[in-house]
Formats: sequence, structure tokens, C-alpha cells
Amino acid sequence: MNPVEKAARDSNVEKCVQCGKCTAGCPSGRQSRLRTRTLVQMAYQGEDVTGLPELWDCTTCYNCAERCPKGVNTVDTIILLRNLAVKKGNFPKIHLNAVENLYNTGNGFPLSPEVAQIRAIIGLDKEPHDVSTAPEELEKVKRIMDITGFLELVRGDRK
Amino acid sequence: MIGVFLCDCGTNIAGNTDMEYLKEELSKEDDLIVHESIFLCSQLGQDLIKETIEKEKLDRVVICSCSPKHHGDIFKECIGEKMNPYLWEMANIREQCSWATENKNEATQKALALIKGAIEASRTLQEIGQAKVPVIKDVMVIGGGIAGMHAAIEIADKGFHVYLVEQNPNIGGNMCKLDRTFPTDDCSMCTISPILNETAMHKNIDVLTMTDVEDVSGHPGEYTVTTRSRPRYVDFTACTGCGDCAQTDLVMETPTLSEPLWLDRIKIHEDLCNGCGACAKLCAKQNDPPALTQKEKGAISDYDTRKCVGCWVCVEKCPKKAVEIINVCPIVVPSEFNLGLGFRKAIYVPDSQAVPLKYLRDPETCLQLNGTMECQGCTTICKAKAPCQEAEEVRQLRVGAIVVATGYEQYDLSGTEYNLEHPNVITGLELERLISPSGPTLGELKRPSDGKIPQRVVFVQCAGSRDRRYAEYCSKICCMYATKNARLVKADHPEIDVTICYIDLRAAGRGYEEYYDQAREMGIKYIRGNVSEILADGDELLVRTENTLLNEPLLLEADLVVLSTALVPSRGTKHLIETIPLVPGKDGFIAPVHVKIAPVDTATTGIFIAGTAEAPKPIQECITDAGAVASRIATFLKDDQLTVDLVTSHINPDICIKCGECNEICNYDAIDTEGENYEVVDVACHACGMCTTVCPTNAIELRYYSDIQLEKAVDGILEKDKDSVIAYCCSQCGYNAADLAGTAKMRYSPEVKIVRVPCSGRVTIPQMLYPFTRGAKGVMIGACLEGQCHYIDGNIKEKDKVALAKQVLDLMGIGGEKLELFNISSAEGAKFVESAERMVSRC
Amino acid sequence: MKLSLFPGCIAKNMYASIEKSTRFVFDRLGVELVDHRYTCCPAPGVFRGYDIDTWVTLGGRNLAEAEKDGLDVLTICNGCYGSLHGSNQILQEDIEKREEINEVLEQVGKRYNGGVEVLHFADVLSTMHDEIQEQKEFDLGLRLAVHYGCHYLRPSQHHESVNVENPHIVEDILELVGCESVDFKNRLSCCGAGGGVWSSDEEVALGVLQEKLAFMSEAEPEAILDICPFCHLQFDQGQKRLQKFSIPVLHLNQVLGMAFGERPKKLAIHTHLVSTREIEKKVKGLKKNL
Repeated sequence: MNPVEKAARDSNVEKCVQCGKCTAGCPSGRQSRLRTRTLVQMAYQGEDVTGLPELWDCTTCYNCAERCPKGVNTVDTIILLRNLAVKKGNFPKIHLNAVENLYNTGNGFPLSPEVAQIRAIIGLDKEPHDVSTAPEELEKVKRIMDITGFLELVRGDRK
Repeated sequence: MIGVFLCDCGTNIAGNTDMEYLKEELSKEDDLIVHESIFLCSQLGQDLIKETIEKEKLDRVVICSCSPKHHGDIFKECIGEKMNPYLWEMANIREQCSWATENKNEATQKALALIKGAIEASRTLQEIGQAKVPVIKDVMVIGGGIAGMHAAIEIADKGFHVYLVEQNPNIGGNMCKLDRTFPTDDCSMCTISPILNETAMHKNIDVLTMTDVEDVSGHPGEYTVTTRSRPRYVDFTACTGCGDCAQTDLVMETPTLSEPLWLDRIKIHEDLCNGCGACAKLCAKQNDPPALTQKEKGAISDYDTRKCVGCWVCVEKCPKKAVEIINVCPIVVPSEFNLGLGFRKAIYVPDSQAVPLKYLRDPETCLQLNGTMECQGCTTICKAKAPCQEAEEVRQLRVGAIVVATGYEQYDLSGTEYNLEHPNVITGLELERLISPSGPTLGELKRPSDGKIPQRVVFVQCAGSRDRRYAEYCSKICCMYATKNARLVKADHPEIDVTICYIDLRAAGRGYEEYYDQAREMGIKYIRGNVSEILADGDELLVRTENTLLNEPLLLEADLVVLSTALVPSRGTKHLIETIPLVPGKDGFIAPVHVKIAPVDTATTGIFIAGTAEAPKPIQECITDAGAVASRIATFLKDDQLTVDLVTSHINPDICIKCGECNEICNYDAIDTEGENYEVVDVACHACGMCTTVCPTNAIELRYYSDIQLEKAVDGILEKDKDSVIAYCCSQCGYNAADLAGTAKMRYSPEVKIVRVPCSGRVTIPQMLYPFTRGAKGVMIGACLEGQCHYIDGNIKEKDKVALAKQVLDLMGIGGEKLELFNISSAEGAKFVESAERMVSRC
Repeated sequence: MKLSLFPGCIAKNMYASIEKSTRFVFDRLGVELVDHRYTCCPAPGVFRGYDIDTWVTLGGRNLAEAEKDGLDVLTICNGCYGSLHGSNQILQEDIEKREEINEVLEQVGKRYNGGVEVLHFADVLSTMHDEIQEQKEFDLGLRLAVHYGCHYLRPSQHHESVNVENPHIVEDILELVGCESVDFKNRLSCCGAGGGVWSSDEEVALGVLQEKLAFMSEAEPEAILDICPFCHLQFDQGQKRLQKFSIPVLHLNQVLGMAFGERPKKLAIHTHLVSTREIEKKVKGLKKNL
């Protein structure tokens, strides 16, 4: 079984009867090329869908999975397919910012000086009490990501 | 000599079992005669058995083939021709062995152990006699829909007396509510009307309307059913159905009514009234407070309907005949028959064509019955003096057989993505009322919110069906009835856009595909796509689907949306499943004892099913069921006595100490403690064996499934294979679930070997512990689901015993986890496998 | 009650007003909030989509922080809730996986044993109707378009007590402070920001948003009410990016804060991009009339 097919099977795709309820209620599909039903069917047939840009247009709203009459975990399928796509370097490069932020500050959205100012004015700690202000803890967080190989994976350094 | 007969079952057994090896191994024992047949159930196979019994003077027979649930009766009859039909055992080496085991070698070894168990058990068997039980020739049919009525007529025509019990005020069920029916577009009422009348008039049928079944007791051939009939508060024989009492001036603009209304009872014609004030004076004299008051001489009296008690003195005494009755009963409530579309009075008949056409009063809303006022409206107007005070009536009816025809209802999709709360989202059955000439709009398709004729109608298929969240199964009739309703709408209003959103269009049936073809020709648009959500846009609706054939999401605008709602077991069906009790399938409908070869028989002898209580199905299949049931009942009741095998318990008076424990545990009042000795009443005994588990002196014993029989079965198995988990499975559920698993070719460890018991509650603590003393690895018990024991509570009682036995095993150092009880229904093959695997992994 | 506050990146670093309101409201309700050295949850769309294992491991580290002090985690963001609830479910149910993750965590001296519950603040508030009533100084009388947000509702196993097709838990809370929830089409649909789409495909993110805003605006609400800073950000920034609509955006805790008598300025709701001036004026007027 190829990895795409495996991802599909891991999220119950074999139960899909192609009824279309997922695509019918997909808020993103109305704006994009994302067709959950077709995507799921392609994955079920083992087609390599990891290069399709619409894989990244799912807002993970779970409308489809929630209402799927057959219990196919469509969103999990997409997430698993994204994981495969990332291994092949197929993903929107703009996300690299968030990835670097996470690695360097522990936060996907880091603090800006402007917001720090607002925080101080309204009586919050100017800098939040999180890992970003605890260098020792931040090192541990980086170490975790080093072990899981997150950065190399995303940067494409991992073999 | 014991004759051991091995069946190849073609390749079903032989394909995964080394038959030669079995023969070789079994032939090593001196007192066994071993034969093999390719199909033992065939005439040839049966002849072989009979010939061998005669030639070799066999005193026991062991059949090694399929499940006794499958061909047990065939072999019993065959063997019974030559010897007592209880001197044989069956080893289930197909469903529970060759089909359930991956590896041929393992299957062979397991088969050998199962056969050895059967051989050893067979040595303990005793001859069992028969008793004759009187049969009551009356039949009860529960449910007066199309299936129940047709069954009642067919049975009554065969000369049996029938009680037809119906919870509603009228018979006819859901079919009465339909406009037309597929695939012929016959008017439903025209089709059913003669059947309604025949049922009501039949000299052999007693129709009990407004009646619920409270309890069923007794045994096949002699059941006692307790029924409770709610009062109509209108004398059944006196009422002529004239309808004077329900006279009304209400004209509905839109077909929905959500709240009760209180209308004026009288109207004063201004052109006739001379303002004499007589009405107000008379009213004040009779009533306090008065409903009519006159402000000043010469003025027309003011009327307050909420004070009016309907004495009609004003009408009678007005010198100018200026006061007219417009509503005898002022109370208007949504009509149940019309599913809330349309209205009825507090005194009403469900439908103008209802059978019986007898009025009734609703005690919740009738002003007199609910104590609001001393209302005399209908009582004084009725010439037949029919409105009356009545009490509930409880009857105990004795019948020989029962037909359950309690039907379906629609799944309640409130609070889901289908937006059923919107007035213009309706169900298929509601649409039937909207297009029925006797419905609230007199057959004119008006949408509920504003009474407008919709220009865009969307049908939504599989609303709740084929959906793990609601009803997992296909409701079978929706493709066709939606097509039918779409055709009717289109035929009446060709200008209306009619769209059907479907997943798969299922048109399997006589004339169905052609009917569907015609629908497409008529211009009905079919879109292959399930609906995700229905959005309200004022009175209009937006339906979100996908045209899956074009790969495009779609937003359909609609004026009216019709949901093809899933069919689910009716409340009546669910009630009887618990009351009788009956075995429900995973879908909640009543499961037949065998879906193919006994489709109208339930697991309880003498109780049959017909119609949609069994599964969703079209009218024609309900009729077929009803005919089949009538035939089964005629066979069942044909003799004056039923022959019952005495596989029951019996008491040895020499050691019985009359402690009464058996009487205490018996759920069927089958122990006679009145005489000199305690005795088992054979016809009452259900042979569950629970009594045998509580007797302190072992004085009470089941004739079949005796202690020694079960012990020897275990011995035989373990002699051949110590790597065994003994699974005591109740013959009602656990055993069937294992058969089902085998039939579905689900594999599980061959270590699990089943010993069949009548009820899990028959297994004693010593029987749980015994296999361990013989080297077994574990013991499991397969029981019915809680609340669904066929002997009422055997599995609940067994639970306590298992808990105790677990403690003993802990103390013995074996470990309580090596014993477990699993609640598994007949339908849960996968759960049996899972339980078996769980057991093996911990032993 | 004592809970560990998980403010999440956006409430901390972008909409500090939400963090401020949260601390104010929960303090008034008598709930003690404790801070821990948290990272990003990490975001369920982007980071889970990149590498599920890293996502669960970092989630596990966050949960381990709360577990050290024996506290349950209070989230005020649907993303954080979905993410932490999701990883917690895996770590509580899949013991093998938990051990695998713990092997990594132990290398930095941490361990998670599955002992923490992840709570959504709206669920906590729904158990505190009496307290809310007590703290309320005046009815706000606002007409609000309630946006639940996806990861609060779905997958529904998060919320077996809520009918995810027809929830009313937020409406029930709003009713306590005299606010009316307006009905609009497709009220439970997505804001368009999740799954990484907000950053990677602006056209789609704004397309989804525009559909939602159009439906909302038909009902003419005075403000949009959310229970998630990320949805909040999408509504607030998105209206500017679309250069269409100007419906003020309020987080539930901001609304409660105002109803509890705090001045809107002190809660910093004026720092939103879409002007909240009308709301501030209305609240000021109500306060004066007290």
C-alpha cells in the first residue's frame, strides 16, 4: 500500500460512498479548487495527491467530517496528506515564517513592540509569562523540536 | 455404539478441515462408528444416518456439521424417525470452526476437540418425552396498519378469531395518510378503504382501538395479553359519526397550526338582532359569569367565548333567530393525523374517512374533561347523546399466537443540519398530507409558511438514512416514494421545478425502474449529491449540495424542501420489544429468527412479525408478510394441542427439601409448590435452567443441558486440546453472534471453543470453575445484552455469579481476569470476535 | 476554582485586550488563573498539518506544565482548545503513543501522564450563570451576531453535551447580560482563517469571510461576538482587508467585562481595527444612567 493510500485507510476512507456531503458543505470549496470528495477518492485509489495546492485550502472547519454519514475522517485524511506533502517539500512556503517563529520564540505569532506597549498600558505584563521570556525553557522547547526533527523536515534538510 | 457423522458441506467444512485426519483419529475409539458425507443434510446424507442407526443399532448419534440453529431441526426429525430425538448431539464445525479459523491445521484440531466434546456429552443424554399442550385458537394482531389489517383478515378468513389491537382511534396506520402509492399511482385511500371496512366488519375480528398492550405472559399456544383501552368519552355504539359536535367555521389560510385556538361558538346576526337583550338576560340567569352581556337597551350583546359553556339558550330563545351556532366546540388544536398541518377540535375524528367513524374527546383539551368549565356544547347538541364519561378498560385476553405489526415512524430530525424547524422544510409524510385530497389543503400544494404554491421544490434523499449519526441502514422506500411525490407534484403543476438530490437511486422492484424513467421524462431533475445543510432565507430555503457528477458544489434555491426522512421503529414497536420481549436487530427493528428462511418468525415461538416492524419496506411487501404470517399461524394453530418436548426442568422428590429457592428465581411461575411434592409445570417452564443454579441439594435438573452433559462436553474438548478458552454461550444471543461471525468469515483464535447453554443464567459457579480444574486457559460467557435477556433477567443474575467466581479465581491464584461475561446481541458478530480475542489475549 | 490560563499566541501577542478581559472577568467570577511557561498550542492547522508528532509532543509539553501543578487548562481560543484537546485525547487514550512522546519529553526533564483536562472558557462560563448574574452591573442591550467558530463545535466528540448543529450555550450566557443574538444564515460556518489558509491563501480566506459577513450583515447586528481570538483577528483584520463592512468585533470576555462594569477603554477594545466607538458610546451611556 503506498503512503497516500495508507493515509486514506488510516482515516476510514474505504467507507466513503462518494455522496458529496463533504464538498456540499465545504466553505473553502466554494472559494477554491478544493473538492474534498474527489480528493478523498483519489487518495483511496492511491493517486499521489501530495502536490495538489488545494490540499492547503482546507480551513479544517470539520463540517465535512462532522456530517459524513459514513464516519470518514476527511479532515484527518487531509492532515495526513499534508504531512506526506511536507516530506516532499510541497507546502506554501509562507508558512515557514510561522515555523521559524515557533522555533525561535515558542509562539507562532510573536510579540511585536507595539502590542508590548499596549500590554503595558492596560496593566498586563509587558511581556507575557510564557516560554518566550524564559530562555532556559525555550532551549528545552527547541531541543524537543530538534529531536522530532521538525525544522529539518520543514526546511527539507532531513534525509 | 455412537454414530459420528462428518459433513463436508461441499468445501465449506472440508475445504478448511482435514476430514481424513478426523476420521482416522475418531476411528481409534472402539465404540464409535464414523461416516462422512458430502452433504449430510441431503436426502442421501439423511438416509445414511437412518440406515446406520438401524444397521449398527446406534444408541447415540453425533452430527458434525453446521450450526444447530441452521439444520438442527432437519437432523432432529431425521434421527427422530429411528430413535428418541434427544439422544444426539451436534458439533458445530462450520460456523464456529472451519469458517472462523484461518489455518486449516488449527481448524482441524479445533473440530476434533468440538466433536470429542459432543461425543462425551452425548453419552450422558437421556430419552426425553413429549407433552401435549392445549392451544387457544384465538390470535392477537398488534397494530392496525396495512400489515396488521391484512394479517387479521387472512387469519380470520381461515376461521380463527382475531383481536386487532390499535393504539390510535382509527385503523389504517400510515397508509391512510398517503396520497397515492408507487409504482401505480393508485389512490391510497381507495386501495385501503375496502380493507378498512372488511377489517371493521369481519365477524371473526374484534377491533380494539385506542388500546395499548401492557403485558404478555404465558407460553406458545396459550398467551395472556393484558391490554388497556383509553376512553373515547363518546359512547362508541351511540355515536353515528354525523359530525354535528365538531361543526366549525374555521378556514385555514396556511396549513400549519402550532398553538391551540379558542374560537367563538356563536355569531349574532346584526341584521336580524333587534337588541331586545333576551339572550343576555337568559345567559345571566343560567350562567355565572355570563358570556353574553348587554351594554344598553337596544345594543347588540357582547360575547365572550371564554365564558360561554355552550348551553345554547341564546340560540333557542332568540325571538329573531339572530343567534347562530358556528362552533359547537370552541377548541382547535393541531391535528395529529395531519402531522400538525391542519387542525381538529377537542371532539374529533382523526380523518373524515376514519374507520371506525366514531368521535372521541381529547381529555387534555376538552373544556369539560380538563375541568376548565361545565361545558355542555357537544353533550347538548348530540342527538344520540353520545358524549359521556368513561373509564379505561383493562382486559386480559388469552390467545394462542401473536402477530406484531406495529410499524414504523419517521426519524425526528429536529436540531440537525436539515433545518426541520423551518415551516417550509417538511417530511415526505407531511407532503403526503399536503397533496392528499382529504388533507388540510384539500390536495392543493400550499407551503406551510404562507400558503403559496411553491415554484421550486427540492426533495432531499437519505435524510437520516445510511448515516451513522442517525439510521445506518437504507430506508428502502424513499427513492421510490420521493419519485412518486415528485411525479404527482409535476403532474399537477408542470411549471414547478422539481429536483431530487440523491446518493444512489435504488429502483429495484417490479415496475420501479420504468417508473423512475418516466419521472425523468416528466422533467424531474435528479442531482447526484447528498445535502450538507439547508439554510433559511426568510420563507425561502437554500439547499447546499454537490453535483457529484460535475464535481461542483451547488446552492439550490427552494420554496419548499421535502426530506425523505429515515424510517425508524415506531414507539409501539420499541415498547413491544421490551414488553414481550423480542430480539431487536442492530437497527432497532424486530429481528426475524432467520432473515432468509424464517422471515416472519421471531425468536419466541408463536409470536410472528409482519410489515415495517421488521424493517422498512413498501406496501406490497407488508401484504406479502401478512399473508405469510397468516399461513404460519394456521400451521401453528392447526391442532387442538401443541406437542411440547419435555426439555424442561424436573424435580427429584427424594432429595428436594422444599426450600422454595427454585420457585423464587423462576420467572414463569413454573414451579407448583401446592402439592405434596414440588413439581415443575412443564407447559409453563421455559427451560432456561436458572432454577438448577440455586437448588441447594441439586434436586432440580434440566432434562436437556443437564449438569453432567455440560461437564462432559467440557471434558471432551479439553481432553483433545488444553489450550482452550471455554465459551458458554446462550443459545439466544451469544451462540448466534458466534454463528454470525463465522458466516461473515470473521476469524478468531481457535482456542475459543463454545459450549451451548440455553441461557447464560443457567451457568453455575462450579461450571465456571470446572474447566480450570481440567486445564482450560480461561472461561467466557456470551450473554444477551442487558435488558434483552430472553428469559427476562438471566444475564443480570449471571453477572453477580461471575463477580463471585472471579473472587474465587483470585483466591485460587488463577486470576479473576481469566473469567469474563460479555453481553453480545445476536446481531453482533464483530463484538463476539472482539470479546473472544480479548479473552485469549489475557489468558 | 483555580485553573491554568492558556492565553494562546493571538490573545497574548496581538489582541491583548482579550487577555486583559479574560483576567478581569475570571477574577470577578472568583476563578484564580495561574500562568505557566507555555508555547504555542501549537496551531492545529499549520503545525499539525506539517508534522503530527511534533504537534502532539509540544502539546504534551504544555499539558505537562499544568499537570505539574495539578491544574486543568483554561483555553480562551478555539484553536488552542482544538489543538490541546485533540492532543490530550491522543495522549490520554493511546498509551503507547504517550510513552513514545514521553521518551522525547524526558530528554528535557518533563513527562505527561494524561492527568489534565482541557477546558474551553465558554463551557466554564456556562456553569457559572449565577456568578455572572451577580457580577453584572447592567444589561448591555446589544444585538450580536454570534460566531461559535469551528474548533469549539467540531469534531463533536469534544462536546457531547452540545448539539453542534444547534448550539445555544453562548446565547444563554449573552442573555444573562441582556444581549440579543440575531439569527443569520449559515450561522455555524467557518470564518475562513483556519487550517493555515489565513496566511497561505488570502483569496480563499477572505472569500469564506466575505460570505459569512454578508450573511451576518443582513441581520444588522451591532457587533460580531466570537469566542476565539483567531476568528476575532480574521473578522477584525479581514473587514479591513476586504475594505467592506465595518461591524465591530467583540470577544465574549470583552462583552462580559463591560457588563461587569469595566470601562471599555480599560479593556482596550478600542485597539481593534474596526472601530468600536459606537459600542463604547452605548456602554458609557448605560453606565451614566446607573
